[in-house]
Amino acid sequence: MTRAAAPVVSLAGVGKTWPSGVQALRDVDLEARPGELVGLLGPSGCGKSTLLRIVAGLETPTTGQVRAPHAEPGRQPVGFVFQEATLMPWARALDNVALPLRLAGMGTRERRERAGEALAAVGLSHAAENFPHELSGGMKMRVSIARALVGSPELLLLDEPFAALDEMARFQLNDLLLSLREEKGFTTLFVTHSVFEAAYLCDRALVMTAMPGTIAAEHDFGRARPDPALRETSAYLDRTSMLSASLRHAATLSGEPAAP
Amino acid sequence: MSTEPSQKKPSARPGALISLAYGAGVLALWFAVTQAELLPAYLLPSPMAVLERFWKAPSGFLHAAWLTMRTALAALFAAVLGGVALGAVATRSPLLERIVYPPLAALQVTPVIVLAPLVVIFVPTSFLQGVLLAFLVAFFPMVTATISGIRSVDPRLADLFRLYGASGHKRLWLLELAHARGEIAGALRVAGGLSLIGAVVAEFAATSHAGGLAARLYEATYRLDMASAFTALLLVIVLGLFLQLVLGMAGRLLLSPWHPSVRASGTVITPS
Repeated sequence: MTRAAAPVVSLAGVGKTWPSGVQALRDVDLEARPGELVGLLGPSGCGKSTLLRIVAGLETPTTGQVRAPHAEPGRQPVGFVFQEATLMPWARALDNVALPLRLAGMGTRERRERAGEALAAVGLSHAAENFPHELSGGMKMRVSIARALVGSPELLLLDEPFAALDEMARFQLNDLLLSLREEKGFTTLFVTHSVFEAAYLCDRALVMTAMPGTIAAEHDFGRARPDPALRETSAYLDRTSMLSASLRHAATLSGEPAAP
Repeated sequence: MSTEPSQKKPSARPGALISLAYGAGVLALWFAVTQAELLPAYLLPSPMAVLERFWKAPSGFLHAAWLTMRTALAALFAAVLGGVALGAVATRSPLLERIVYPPLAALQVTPVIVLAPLVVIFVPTSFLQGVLLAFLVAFFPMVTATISGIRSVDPRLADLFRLYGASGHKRLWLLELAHARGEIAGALRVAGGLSLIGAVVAEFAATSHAGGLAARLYEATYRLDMASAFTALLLVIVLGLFLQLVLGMAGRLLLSPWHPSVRASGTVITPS
């Protein structure tokens, strides 16, 4: 187990059973090394989101061990992006982005400056003073990403963040995420149900079964970089068909048939 | 080109026009009824007679209006502060909410007029008696609005606050009360109306000797001085409408420009 660097996230034998008796996750082993972008791919209801919430410390597992950075006073090592942008509708874009810094107790001037930089990094400097209802879906998601990154976290967790966006916005945000990773070097866990997104975005994709969720297959694609031309190559098509086959196979492994 | 100026403020004008039309309509009907002598003047005085009565001694009526308004405003102030505070406390845990709720519900279904004699015995000054009675009426909607407002916070935003290790008071101010503003602003208008009603009822039931508008009305009907009674009645209505107007503006200020209720009026232009 001696690697160049210790993993940022490591899960061993993690399981989650809800009080209702439904088993959401069973025996999940997972590791993400510094700077790595790991995708979790699976059908709806396979426990991907629960897994992400366990890593974030928002949910406690019933079995197994979790090692991941957690918030403590003065330190916010994890950024989280939800499926929806989840902005505070009463706050301007800049103040939404500055929220984590405000909760950490940073002064007004410094946090506005840092939030401004984070907005610039996602290409939204011009919208700093706009309210969420004045922004498009893609712009809101950029604000959400800026908020997740404003505190320079070492771990970024994304829960199907681009699922509700149109194709072009999704392509742009995939590239944005990859170039931000190049620049800042954070580790990423990315939940998606799209084989195309996983094939483009992930260094490594883990395919999950449903009910209970567990990892059925792993595909190592090598380091992903922002490269729109990749989408037109046969290598990319090979990846997507590999992931599709893997998903189909995972579905046959499920203990129960998937819920309608 | 010619359509541009008329599109500037689409909502303000028709609203004001409709209000004016209502006022004019009621006045015209009232005038017509008295002109036709459908009712004798000692039961329904004409609008002119009422205006004349007010004009002869405005300071007495205005002083009475001030006494009533003062009671209503003090009660409203206490209801807003107390209601929001209690709502915030009640939402700290399900147990607290269960502890807070039963006495509130009991109070809500108890007519304030039944409490009036007790309040007169237990509370020292007539001002405080009036304030307490009006407060008891206006308090409940503020508490329930605060509770349901805090309860309807986006759970993912709440997760985010947890993830970033937010302190309890930051979560309360920056998330829960910030979000509950929508419902609190709505309840503000309800509580404003109720506090005035509470103040008037308190004058009838407990503090008529203190001389508010209701006391004037009561005393005037006793003497069959209908012009004075109608003056007092109209002043109560004017006070109520004024309070609604001011609280409505305060509510809009609290929610502008982001809240759907403010946006829906069409006064906010969203850039593409």
